[in-house]
Amino acid sequence: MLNDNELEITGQVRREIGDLCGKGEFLSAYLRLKQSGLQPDTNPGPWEFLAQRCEEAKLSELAHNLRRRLWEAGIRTGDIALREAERALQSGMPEYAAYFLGEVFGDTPTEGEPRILLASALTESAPDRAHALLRDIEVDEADAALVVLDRMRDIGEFSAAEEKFQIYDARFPEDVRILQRGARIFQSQNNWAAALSIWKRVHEFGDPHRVRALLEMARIEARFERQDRVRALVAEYFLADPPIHEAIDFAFEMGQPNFGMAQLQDAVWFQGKSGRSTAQWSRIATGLIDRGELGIVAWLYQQGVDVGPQVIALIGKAFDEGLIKIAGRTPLAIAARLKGPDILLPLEKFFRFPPVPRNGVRTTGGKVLLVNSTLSAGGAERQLVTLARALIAQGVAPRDLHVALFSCVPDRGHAHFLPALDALGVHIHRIDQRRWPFGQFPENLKVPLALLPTPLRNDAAALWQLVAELRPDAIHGWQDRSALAAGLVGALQGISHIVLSARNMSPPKRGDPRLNQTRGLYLAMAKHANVTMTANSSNGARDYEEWLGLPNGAISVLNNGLDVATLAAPRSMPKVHPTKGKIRIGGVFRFAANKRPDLWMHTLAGLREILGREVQPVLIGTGPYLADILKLRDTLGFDDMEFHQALSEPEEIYSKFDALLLMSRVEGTPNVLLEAQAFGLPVAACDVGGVRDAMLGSGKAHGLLLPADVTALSASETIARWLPKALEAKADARRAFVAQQFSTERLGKSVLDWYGQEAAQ
Amino acid sequence: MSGFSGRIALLCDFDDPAAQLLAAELRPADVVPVLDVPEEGFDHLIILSQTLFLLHASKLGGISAKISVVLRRRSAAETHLEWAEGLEIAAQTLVLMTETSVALYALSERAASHTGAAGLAGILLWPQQDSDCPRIDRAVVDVEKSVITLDGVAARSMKIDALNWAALARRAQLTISGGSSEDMRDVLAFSNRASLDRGEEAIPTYVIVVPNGVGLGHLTRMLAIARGLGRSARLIFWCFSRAALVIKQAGYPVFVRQTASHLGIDGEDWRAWETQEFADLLRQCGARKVIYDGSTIDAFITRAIRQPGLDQVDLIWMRRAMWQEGSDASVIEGAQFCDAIVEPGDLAAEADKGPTTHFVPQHRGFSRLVKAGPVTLMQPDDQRTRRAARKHLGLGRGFYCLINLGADHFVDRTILTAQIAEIAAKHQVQLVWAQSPLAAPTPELDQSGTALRQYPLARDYAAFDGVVSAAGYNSFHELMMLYAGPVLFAPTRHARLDDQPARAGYANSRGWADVLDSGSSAAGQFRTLDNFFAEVRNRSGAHTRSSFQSGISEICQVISAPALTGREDD
Repeated sequence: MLNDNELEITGQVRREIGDLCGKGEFLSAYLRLKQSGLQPDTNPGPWEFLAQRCEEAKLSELAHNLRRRLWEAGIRTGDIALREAERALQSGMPEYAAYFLGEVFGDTPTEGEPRILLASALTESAPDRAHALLRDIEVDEADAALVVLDRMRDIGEFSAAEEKFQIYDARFPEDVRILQRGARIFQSQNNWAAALSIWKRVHEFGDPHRVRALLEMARIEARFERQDRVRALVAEYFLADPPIHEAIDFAFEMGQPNFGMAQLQDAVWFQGKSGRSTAQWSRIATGLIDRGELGIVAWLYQQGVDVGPQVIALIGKAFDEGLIKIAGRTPLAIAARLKGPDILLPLEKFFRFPPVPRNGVRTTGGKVLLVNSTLSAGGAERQLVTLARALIAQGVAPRDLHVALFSCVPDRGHAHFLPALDALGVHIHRIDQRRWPFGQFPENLKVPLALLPTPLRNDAAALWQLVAELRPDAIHGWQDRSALAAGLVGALQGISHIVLSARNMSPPKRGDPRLNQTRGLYLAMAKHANVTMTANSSNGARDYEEWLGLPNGAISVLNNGLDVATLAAPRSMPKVHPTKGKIRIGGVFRFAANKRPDLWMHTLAGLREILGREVQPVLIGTGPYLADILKLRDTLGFDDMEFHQALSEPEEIYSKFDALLLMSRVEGTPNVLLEAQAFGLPVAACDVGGVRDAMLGSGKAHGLLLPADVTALSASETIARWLPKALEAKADARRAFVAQQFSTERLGKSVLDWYGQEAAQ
Repeated sequence: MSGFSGRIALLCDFDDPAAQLLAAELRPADVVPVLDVPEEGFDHLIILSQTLFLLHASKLGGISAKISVVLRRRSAAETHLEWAEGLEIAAQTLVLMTETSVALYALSERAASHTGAAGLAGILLWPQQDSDCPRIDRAVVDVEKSVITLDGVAARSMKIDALNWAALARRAQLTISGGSSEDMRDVLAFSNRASLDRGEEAIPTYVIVVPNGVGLGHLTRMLAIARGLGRSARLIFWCFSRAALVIKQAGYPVFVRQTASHLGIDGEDWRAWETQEFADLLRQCGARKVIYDGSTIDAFITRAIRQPGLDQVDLIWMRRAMWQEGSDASVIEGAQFCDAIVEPGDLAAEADKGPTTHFVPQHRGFSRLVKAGPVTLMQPDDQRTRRAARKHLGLGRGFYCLINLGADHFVDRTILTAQIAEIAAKHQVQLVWAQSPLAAPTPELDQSGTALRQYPLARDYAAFDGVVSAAGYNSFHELMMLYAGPVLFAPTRHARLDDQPARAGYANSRGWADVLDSGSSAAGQFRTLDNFFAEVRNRSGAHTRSSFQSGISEICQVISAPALTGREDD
């Protein structure tokens, strides 16, 4: 209790502080308070008052100091806890935020603001608790709704986030930010149609939201190769005069680097170097570094553009001074030829590699680290699980087998094979859940790694600490992106055996400019004595050898594995007549452009004409082209066409038809071909990717290899000639072919050999 | 070209050969290359590629000019996919621009056909009619090596971007060797079909570029040529010399320029600025020729001339010889940019060991080398008599010696000037110290004698009983051809100057003058000066030197020739 004198002093000090704050003299007010002798524990009022005024005046450091004094004096109000928690979160110290909130509001705050803040603080360290806090929360303001949605996205609870979005969308229909969050939530769940429809609503809000919506819609349409729509959206986007840093980046993304450079040159020379802030130029330069466009950034810097100290430091490390000058003096198009990661080669020199470990020491045990992006429902992911199983069958102890995944969020569809992998008892490392480990890099590697293009830079950063902790005897990168990161990190950490498993189509063939840029890096790693490179078909191996300029045989073939024994015992083949009656032709593929569903349908229509018998199409799968297929079904009159979208058991799938047809433009080594043959079915497919390797090539039961660019008419004529004999032939030859060529035993032994390990007896 | 008249903005990359060709093809329309969409002031806007169209499409809605886009095929920098998609996006952009009318053009039939595949209709061919313009030479364009060779003669070659392509195409039928992009093939097809009319003017305009020389040599030679050209052309000076006032006093318009060094700025920034300023002048005054006197042709000149619409500007390089032995010969490669190289004669040519006497440039393009007689600003008729000169200079009776040691930038003349003053005093010869219009007041004035700040000096040489002079080109030739009294050369040795010691030594070997050898001992120098001033005192009469010769008339004929592109026999 204050006495009268103290009350008077307190009142006087408060008035003086108020006057000083009114004049904007906050520091003077602070000094006056300190000199007044009023202590925060006994006279907290003036301290709280000044802290609030400083906060309002955005003098956050001063406000923080005042609150800290109060907190240390034991004054722990809700306001202090909330403001300090906010500050801690902004400073990247969520554990401090959790402490402040917990002290005042407990573990489960009932009010909205502390509950949301606590959930934010727990997002990384305790995502389940964060989710529990957010699940039932009620919000009254759109700002709070946004935070809830963002935190739910952060913890990967996309289904829950979607539910919240539906509620908030109804409550705040005029808030475009909520819509944008909703679109992102759907994108994260690969629900592209829903995302597209939301972006269309965002588009209606006009600029600047329209510009963002156009960009996102173009990206989504590009996924489905709907080029006409992509072009229309891109055209509208550039007509809308988008922000320059986005526009340049988007031009590169859309495969228009010369247009991107034209924009950059225009920005530098016509609009003036000083027409933009350092932050804007830095953003442009950072985007270019992410794309490996180091020569363009050097050119930009040499033009006198203020790209900011961090970019300057990076460029200074990437180029010697002479080279920067050369880049600046040459036309932009020529400077653009200097790219990362090529400029970082030879790796040994740039990264100061440790000595390459001696190869050839064979062991009967040792830690193995498999690295892959996700466990999505794809053929490559399924093969990863098969490989793990095959390795265990060869004697690798599950405790020695580690699998690193860059993402494994169920709501994003990244965990499809997680139960199957988990069941093997191996260690699964979700490196997306580890704290950002860039700080863990050795000091001398930080800059070189920062010069790598994304996503390689982020992948290497994410993988670094895990490899350092595990010190595996072998590291195995699965598919290009993971192979590059695993190879680089493995080499930098001196791992004894490195296996890089590409699939079966080189980046240029796939039309992937970003991966294409890594040719030099791939080649540099492929030449290391302790590195084995593989592809999963002979075509694929030759394709990579050609791309990298390596001699024939430099890249090993790692056939897919199919454990025929684990498939249900083949049923006896239905006796479909070779020439009469109904025949069911099946297709098992994703309904996407590269599978050419329209060609598949037209081929069947042609076949129906030629064979003069009933042909029933059976499609198993789903995808963005479903509507187009349904339309085509009606046009072509396939009234009895069957669709199955939820089948997963092989026996169920392969009992639905009598022969399998694939008409893909792009393929890896299609598991469906292997499985269909394992069930004894005749198979026909276009000669792309690893199809040739995956098909019985001789004998009466041989498969039918169609030209890659075949027309529907030609395909149907060829199939019509081949099919009767194929149906007559005995199925055993097909089963035997798969069992011999694609056995998991063979897979396990080959890979173990590359790891420098002996199979356990 | 039909349909295009008035003022045309050409939105293009200035280095684009198609832009250079098109600007010439559109003549006599007033074509101005631009880097951005002009809001007003133009009747037409022609955009030179679909990429530039995309870049600026958002700004085209509100302009009044009629818009045309030249659709291009794939360039060397693009993949086929990139080009095809870019074209499709441009086509979609046109669809969206419902309020704006855009005419489409292509440079060849194939280009029209290929670009039309993107669903673009109504593409017109450019040019619409083949020209009957005769081409004298045949040029082979090697895109991979970036070299153009004329008539299969290796020496008659040039870098692919040495000339404005309209100037090139006007003179030569172009063919391609080896691989090239589709767009380059279209450019060649266009160039061979275009008429590229150059147009002529009754009184052409020449722009004379004077570099920032150490002394007045470049400026003086250019004034001599200007004088020789008389009223046959309108002359404008673009002058980096600090003595620009001299040009103004001579009655010529002069643009006083600053070098990067004067301004203390980055060379490339300066060059970009200077290029545009120079190009603007050439365009505004309708220049037909640029005459440059100097050893190195700065890129601002060649870049400006390459700009679209400036193809009618020929470059004449006045290149004095007598470079020092071991000088950087690579600058002679500048020959490829020129229509003619004119070498003013040097009386001491026999002593010339510099690279201009033997270095053969790898590329000399269309240029021909013309060696003419010496060039001096003063002619014999310009000279005042001894009496008139003395009166003009305010000199009384007695013995007078002119001391003209040239620029003092490079060497310390303190000892020499003290020696001269001391020995002249001994011989009772009064000294007149010449001061360059460039120079600050010199220490010589504190010694003895009179300062003379006059340009040109040679008009009053007769006033003097002797001359001590540096051996720069102009002083040397004026003294050797226009002055009869004793001459003592005190040549300046410096890497950035011509070979003055060789020139002075030659004069000495011919008995035309004495030489003060800076390498000799102080006693030796004293003796030389003592002998010289004794000779001045003796008024020993006229020296027999070279008769007066002048290459000005010949040089002016070369400059004024309507076509500078005639073949030179190799």
